[in-house]
This record gives sequence, structure tokens and C-alpha cells, in this order.
Amino acid sequence: MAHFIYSRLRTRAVLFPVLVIAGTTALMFVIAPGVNVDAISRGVVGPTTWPKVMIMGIIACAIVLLVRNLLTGIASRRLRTESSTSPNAFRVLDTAGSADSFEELPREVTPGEYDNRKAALGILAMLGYSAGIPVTGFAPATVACIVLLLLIGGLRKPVTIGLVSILGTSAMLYLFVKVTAMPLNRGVGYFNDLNLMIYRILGIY
Amino acid sequence: MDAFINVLGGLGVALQPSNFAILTIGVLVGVLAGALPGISFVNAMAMSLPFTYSMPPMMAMVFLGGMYVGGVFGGSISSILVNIPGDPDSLPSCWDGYPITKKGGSVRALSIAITASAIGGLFSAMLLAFAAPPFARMALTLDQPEFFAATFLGLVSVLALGKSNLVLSLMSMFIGLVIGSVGADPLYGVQRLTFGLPVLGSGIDFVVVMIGLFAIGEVLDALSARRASSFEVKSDARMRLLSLRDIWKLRGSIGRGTGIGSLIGIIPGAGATVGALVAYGIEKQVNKRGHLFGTGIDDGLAAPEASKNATTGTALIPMLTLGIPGSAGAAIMLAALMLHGVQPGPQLFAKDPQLIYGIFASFILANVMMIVISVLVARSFGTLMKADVTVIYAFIIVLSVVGAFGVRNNITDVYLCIGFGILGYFMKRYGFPTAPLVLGVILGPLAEGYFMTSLANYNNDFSIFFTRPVSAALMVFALLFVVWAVFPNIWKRPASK
Repeated sequence: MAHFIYSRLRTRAVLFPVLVIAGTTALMFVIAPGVNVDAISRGVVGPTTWPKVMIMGIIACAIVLLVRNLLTGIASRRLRTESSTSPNAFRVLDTAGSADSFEELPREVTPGEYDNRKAALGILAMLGYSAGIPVTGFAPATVACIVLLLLIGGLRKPVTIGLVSILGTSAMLYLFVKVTAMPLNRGVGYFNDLNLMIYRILGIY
Repeated sequence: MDAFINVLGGLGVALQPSNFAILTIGVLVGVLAGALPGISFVNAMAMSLPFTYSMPPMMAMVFLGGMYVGGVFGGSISSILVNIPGDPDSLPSCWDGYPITKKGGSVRALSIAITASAIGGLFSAMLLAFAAPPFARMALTLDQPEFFAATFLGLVSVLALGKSNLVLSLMSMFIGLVIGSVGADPLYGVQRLTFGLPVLGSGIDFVVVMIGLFAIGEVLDALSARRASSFEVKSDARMRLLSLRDIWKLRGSIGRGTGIGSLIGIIPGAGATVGALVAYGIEKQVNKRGHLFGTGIDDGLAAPEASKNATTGTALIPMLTLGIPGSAGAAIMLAALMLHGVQPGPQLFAKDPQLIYGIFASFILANVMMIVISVLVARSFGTLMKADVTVIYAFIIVLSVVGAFGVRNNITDVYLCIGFGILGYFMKRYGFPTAPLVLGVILGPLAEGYFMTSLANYNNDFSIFFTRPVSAALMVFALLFVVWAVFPNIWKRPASK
């Protein structure tokens, strides 16, 4: 029995995030004040009723998914090819699910299609960028971020990387600070002086 | 007659040099963003949103409206020329558009696409201009229970459209509703789910969520996916409007596509993708040459093209009259209005008719400008596609970070945005639809506000939603949607591996 459950857990990649979500929302529910059943039965809906009902909705969905997948296994969804050459638009619509709304469609993921290291590096680059802006200011942080992201994306031409990062940052600085008057961070200490010098060179100040 | 005069007045506002210039820029950015695979016009609109804060409300709406109209068509260019949809709504254009290109008819395919899109878009814009005001007058008679019922219908319709992914869609929507409830509640002002952090006291701005999910999440997905970083275009990329004789030959498919798209545009959460797919499916059933669809049939291209642009104008009807967006593009335009302190709803039509009719007129103009700009973008498409998309991704990240910061000039919004980007990436990887989450974040606070206010106004009587006629009708319709979505899932036995 334990092996059966374990094998079901292993074969369904979504179970892990479902468990995480269920655990997180259960924690949130514990943190929030208790449900006042008496008040609700009298029709009094308090300020925490709405979020608690939604959290219960998440937990309920997670439980339904877990039970269904433990009992029946994975239902893999593929678009079946038909004898006619034209795709079945309604089948696409059906399997696309609600992702169709707001102009979105899910993609079929094939094994080996993803390189998680690149995603992880991209996330680190963004976090470093966000943390770096208050210290170094917008300009140096942006140049560094663009260089990093281009390298992560596989671009290896130094001239292209240099031109794109410097010219792109300059254009964005001019647009954000001069045109839209957005108060971008200039950093601290020597970086503040560096950013001011860049602004003067670009004619912003 | 009054409506016609008002629309003419709106044209006068939209044709002012500054508004016309920003409209042209918006259409250009939209067509480009739509045409380039890897970024969608929704990404572009989400990233542009914080920058519209420095514009007057009219200019902001003109800019985003132009981007919306241009972006919905833009994806067709890459669909037809390289068989890669620039946006999900352009997927049906690949099915018959690319086969026409393979036979050497790329010019004809692009011409069919732009003509059908322009006709569908113009019809939808006219419908917006002349149908929205009577709809708004009717909406003035509605009260909080009706608004709650309409918002509930908006939330539920997403589930009905995604019935094969029902549980995941529900979970995604509930997560969005929880995110939307962070901060002060709408009636008592009590802080919820802030964990003692002052920065969460004013809630999580849905612009931050949208930028994170739609822009950063997409880029992370694209960075990590092993796909080509640039493409070669070998076909002739010129396009022109079809002659009247050619349009007459396609009158059936264009007419049906336009009608279907106009209706689907009004449904909250549906959008151009649903419109294009439904129009293709129906056209295949009713057309004499439907059995040949997929081999390069003109009607197979014309119908979805007309439909997807026909959704753009009508998607704004529920947005402007009830504050419920009909699509992602409309949702971003709603966000722009709210950023400028303009509350959409029936009162807006009376308080600021110049803004309303200016928006209507700009949509009509945008569909005309779309023709001119699409011709130019198509001709330079080959050059554009040689560029490494990694460069675009890098700038999307930077613009997203700056855009998130620009919402409230708060660095915490940037970290939240990145967090939602990471969430969006994993949601895509594990097959969680992200659209219901965004809808939950946008509509959740509205729904809760209407719900709580209704109970406060009607002595905490829950039955008020079912005793008022309009509210009852909307709630029954919504529940029918739920049954239609849930019923097949209860009886369907999932396939075992």
C-alpha cells in the first residue's frame, strides 16, 4: 500500500506543488483568527470571512486533486491527430482550458525541453538587480543585469553585449528620468556621484 | 443621432496631434510585440502600464487601446510567414495561413488577414461606440447585488471555458482571490493577511501581479526552454487590402467571424484566443470547403482573423459600463483607468463623456492605423526576426522591474513582482493556468466589495442576490455555467496511464 501511494506521488509532478499550496494555505488559515460560526449563522459576515472562504477553496481543490490522482493515476493530455489535415479547434479550446481566457494557451512540455539552471540563474540575476539598485543606482545595476541576462540567454558576442547594455541603459535612463520624470534610485556614496555624472553626460541634468 | 454626434466629437479629441501620435506609437508597439514570438502584446501592455501614469487619462487609454488593437493582429504576421504564432490568438492563423504561404501565396495570406482583421475590428469598434451608452444607461438602474452577480458571473465564466482543467483553474482562481484580499477589507478597514508587514497594508497591486506573471514568468520560461533564438524568413512579406471583389467572395467567413468575435468579446475572461478558435471551429463546420481546412483555404484564415479583432471593441463594453474586463487587454486598460483615479461604471458615461467617446473614436482610428502600420511591420519582419530574442528578454526584465517599482515607488513591489514571476514560471511548468489567478486578483476585491456592501445595505440578507430579478437572473446563469463546467468532469472517467 505504501509503495502504491509512493509511486503515485512520484509519478505526478503536480502533487508536490499541490501539497505545498495546501500546506501554505493551511498555515495561513491557522495564523488568521478562528471562524465565528455563530456570527455567520446570524448572517453577519466579518472582514476575514472572504479570505478564509477562499483559503478553504484552495484546500478543497488540493484535496480533490490529491484524492483523484492517488486513486486513478495521471491522465496525460495530448492533442490527438485526426485523419483530416486540419486541427480540431474545439479540441484545442477544450484541452487549452481556462488558460485560453486572457489570451493564453498552455504548451506541451516534452522531456529535456527545459534547462532549469538557466531559469535559476535568471531568477538570481533579477534578485541581484533588485538588491543592487538601491546600492549602485539604476544605471550600473541595469548594465550589469542586461549583461548577465544576455550571457545566460547564450549570447557570446562581446561587442553586441557591450553595445546593447550601454546603449539600451542610456535610452531607458533618458526615457524614464527625463521624459517621464520617474525618480530612479541613484545609489549611495560613490555610486551616487557616478550616477549623477552619467545623468550629466546624457543631458538629463 | 446624439450618439453619432458624440462619436464625431470623440474623433475630434482622438485626432488631436498628441493623442494621434501616441495612438500611432501604441499601434506600432502592439503590432511589433504581437509579431515577435516570445513576447505577447499583453506583456507589452502590462509593462507599459506604469509609464502611462505620467500621461493624462485620455492619452493613456489611447496608447493602450492602440497597443491592444495592433497586438491582437500582430501575431498573425509570424503565424503566416513562419508558422509560429506571435500570440496565442494567432494560432488558428497558422493552420491555413502558413499552408497558403508554402504554396507561394504569402502576400495573399497576409492581405486576407489584414482585411478580415480590419473589418472585424472596425465593426467591433462601432458596436462599442453605439451599444455601450445604452448598456450604461441600463446599468444605472442596477445596485450592488447586481454588480456582485455580474462579477461572480465574470469569475465563473473563466471556469466554464476551462472545464477540462477545472480543478486547477478553480485553485488558480482561489489563489488569485486570496492575493486580492491582502490588505484592508473594503468595508471595515481591517488588515488581513499582512503578517504585520506595513508594506502589505495597502494590498498587492494587481499591476505587479500581471507584470510578474505575464512578463517575468514568460521570460523565465523562454530562457529555460531549449528553443531557437532567431528565425529566418524566406517568404515575400508584403500585404495590401483585398479588393472589393475578393472581400465579397469571403463575405460569409468574415461576417460569421465578426459576429462570433463580437459576442465572445463581451464575455468576461474570454478574449481573442477563444474568439479565434471558436470562429475557426464553426467555420469549418458550416463552410462548403470545411473538409479542406488546414490545406490553405482562404475562409479558414479569414474567419479567425475577423473574429479575434472583433473581440477587441466589445471587450471594453463590460469594462467601461460595469468595471468587469472582457479580456486581458481590457483588464490592463481598466488598471490604467484606476491608476488615474477614474472609476469605470455607468456614472462615468455621464461624468466624463469626452473621455468615453474619445476612447470609442480612438478604437475606430486604431483599426485604421493598424492597416498602415502592419504593412510596414510585415515588410521589415524578416530583419526583425534575425535579431536574437535574448536581447528582447533582457529588456523585458529590466522594464518589468522598473515598471513594478513605478507603481508605488516602492522596492517591495519589485520583490513581489519577481516572486509572482517565479510563481508564474512554475505554474506554466506544472500546468497550472495563470489566467484565472489574474482574474481572481482583479475581480476579487470588486466582488468582495459589492458582496459586503450588499449585505450591509440589505440587513445581512443573503437571499437578496436571488430575490432581485436582474441579480437572480445573473446568478442563475452563473450557476448554470458552473453546472455545465462541473457536470462532464463528474461523469468523465480520467484516462489511466
